[in-house]
Amino acid sequence: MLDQLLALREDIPRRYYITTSTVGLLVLFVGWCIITYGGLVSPIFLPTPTAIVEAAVKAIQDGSLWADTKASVYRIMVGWLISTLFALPIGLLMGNFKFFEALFEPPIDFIRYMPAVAFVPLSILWTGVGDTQKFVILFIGTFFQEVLMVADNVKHVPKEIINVSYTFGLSKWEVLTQVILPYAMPGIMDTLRITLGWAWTYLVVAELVAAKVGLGYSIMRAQRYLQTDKIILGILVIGILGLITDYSFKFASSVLFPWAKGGRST
Amino acid sequence: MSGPVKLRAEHVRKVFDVEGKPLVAVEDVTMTVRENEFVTIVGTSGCGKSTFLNMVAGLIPITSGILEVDGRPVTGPGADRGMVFQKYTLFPWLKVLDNVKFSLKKKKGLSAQEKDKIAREYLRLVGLAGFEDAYPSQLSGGMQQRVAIARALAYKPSILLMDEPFGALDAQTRGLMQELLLKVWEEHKTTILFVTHDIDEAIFLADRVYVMTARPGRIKQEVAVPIPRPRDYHTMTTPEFIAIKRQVMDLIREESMKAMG
Repeated sequence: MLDQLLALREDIPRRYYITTSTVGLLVLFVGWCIITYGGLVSPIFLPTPTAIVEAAVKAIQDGSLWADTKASVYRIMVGWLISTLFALPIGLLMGNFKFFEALFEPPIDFIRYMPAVAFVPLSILWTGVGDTQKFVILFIGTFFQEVLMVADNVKHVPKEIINVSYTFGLSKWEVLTQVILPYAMPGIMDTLRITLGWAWTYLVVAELVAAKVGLGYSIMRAQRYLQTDKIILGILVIGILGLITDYSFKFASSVLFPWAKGGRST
Repeated sequence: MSGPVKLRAEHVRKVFDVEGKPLVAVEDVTMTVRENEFVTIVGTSGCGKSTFLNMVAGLIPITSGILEVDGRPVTGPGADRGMVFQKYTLFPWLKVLDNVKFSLKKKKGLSAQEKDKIAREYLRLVGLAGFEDAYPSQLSGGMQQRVAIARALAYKPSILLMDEPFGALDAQTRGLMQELLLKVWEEHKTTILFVTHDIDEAIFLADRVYVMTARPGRIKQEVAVPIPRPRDYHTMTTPEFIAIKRQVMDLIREESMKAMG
């Protein structure tokens, strides 16, 4: 039994896998219950699960949870969409044409190493403390990584696939749109999924510093009044939203690209 | 051989620029392939035979010499030259039938039904009737290469170029694929130029074998294979086959020794 469970780089039966995952989560939860209900830590540092459920009920009733979530989701969608709107075409150009790679890569590589967080003061100076400032931070945090990942997705299309398409009489443009793009699509979809996850990090950073509403702001405000339950609630909500988007993307991928299931053939 | 010349190469030479230094990949290739002929090029790894084939396909420009297909100089890739690569080159997002139909995309004057019919016919020919709706990732390596062959034959290129198409397959599958290719070729005569490092394969398939030298590649000798067709795997153990094999092996061995220094 133990031999089977700990087989090196081998699959284990599915029900064992699911049981193990569930037990892992349960242990975490039970541990939390023991140290909080048991009074081993002060509620100021770590509140009980009940306290967090209560905080959630209250936040739902007074409408603040909805308002914060709405504001954050709106900012993240717009900020990430702007970033993606630029990253897709520029990434496609960079991945397909050495000319555009030479043109865009040096500045992108340079800016990529500047921490987005350090741009927060500058972004406030430029655009104030409204939504635009959040978009700017999201863009700086997301775009410069996203564009390189899209370029990489495109570069992964094997040369042979491109060459064989030419022998069918396809033009350069047709190869680009009918071969390279569909081949790279699942990879690009994955890039979008991963970068949207990063966008959450930058959103919270932007909201922590300057905002009147939003999940990041609610965490910040709760900290001022030592409302640990609200802080944890905010973190949990962000985690759950992230999980939902992640799985939506994965589900969309499996529907849109059934052929890519279980990895693609080389 | 009497058919019209499909491929004419004269003193074709290829020099690559490797970080500023010239590297001669193909020194001098002079050869012809006539209509409906099955010609193979055999040589050691890295002798430039694949480079030559890529030049015929128009995927790599020649440095000097004459290279003509149907009397027209090769300037780039085109639908008159089909190519089957060693690496699997099926489009993973298309089902098997759509993969074959993809090659007919630029064929003018064919209705959708006709394209469908042609694609199905060639799939049947390579023994894959019933797999039309499978994705490439659901097929074995040998089956994928059969689809690639069906796809390359379906649009009827003037000459079919094959670059070690069975190189990644196991020995048993390889043997079956060679027989299958000959069967298809005998049924639908077409002109094939086939590159391989496998001496048995080169002789078994060919009307004529061109033996290439080690890098930089030159045509060392042309060997005729007057073994009657249809051939099957028993052909490989006949005295005439073995006599030709001995001749080709001697030629290749000289080159391998040279290549090893």
